[in-house]
Amino acid sequence: MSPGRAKIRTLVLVLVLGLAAAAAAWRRLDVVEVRGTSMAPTLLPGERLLVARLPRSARVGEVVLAADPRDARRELVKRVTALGGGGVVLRGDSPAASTDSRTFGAVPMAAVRWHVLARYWPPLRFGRVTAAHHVLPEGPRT
Amino acid sequence: MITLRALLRPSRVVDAHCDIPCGVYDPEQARIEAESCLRIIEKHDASDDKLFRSRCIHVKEERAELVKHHLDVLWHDYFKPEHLEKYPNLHDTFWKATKQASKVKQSMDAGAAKELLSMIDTVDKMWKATGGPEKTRVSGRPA
Repeated sequence: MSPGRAKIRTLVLVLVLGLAAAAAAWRRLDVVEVRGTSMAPTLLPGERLLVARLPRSARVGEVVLAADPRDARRELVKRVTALGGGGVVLRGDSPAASTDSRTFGAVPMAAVRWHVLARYWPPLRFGRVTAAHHVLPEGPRT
Repeated sequence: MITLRALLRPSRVVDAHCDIPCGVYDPEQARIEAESCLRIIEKHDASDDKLFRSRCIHVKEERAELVKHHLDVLWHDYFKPEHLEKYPNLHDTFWKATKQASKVKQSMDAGAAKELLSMIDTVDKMWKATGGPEKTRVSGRPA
């Protein structure tokens, strides 16, 4: 790599980190850790995620953080599978091992305030967490 | 100065949650154990056999513990905040019923066991009135 390109790369890195720090300071970005297996294989227990405050309402397919309607102190990570009059329908990617809208119904739009952008830890699983629009297989209701 | 380490440290834990409630509840479970307690006390009182009497005490304590367990499961898992709105005395009812189950565990008083049965029947009424039989039992059992 030429010295010029290395310089540009360092500059970009500093810029990105600076922007991330600024966003964190503005409370638009945050990092969280996953507990539980209901989002497997997309997210595994112990993985760390970069999340962003939703500047808009949630969209079908994206992975979001939502307040648990049964216990406001708990924050859930689930995928949005439908939007309707009742609110946002959430489902785990591993439906057989997930407690989600099948149990507690749709959650209000206001309960969904963050969406998941990427997984940054463990490093080998680094990558974007993308929206999925396929119909998830129905596991037994648990 | 915000360090990279601080940036990457999770601020909180989010739940990819699964609580596997089987969703089957019925106060009958508690009632059967409580009926056992009553019958055992009666058999204990009717017997002169020292060994049989001590077995009665032992088994009755186990059954009373099961009553407490089944009541706790109904209380924690079946009943929801909206049921509390309908029955403001719900917590009090369960508290007294589980305390009564402790009393039955500790004593050989048939009256206490009968009182426990009537308390379980109060819980049963609330379970029925909130749609418990339709919502929580598996249908299709042969009559």
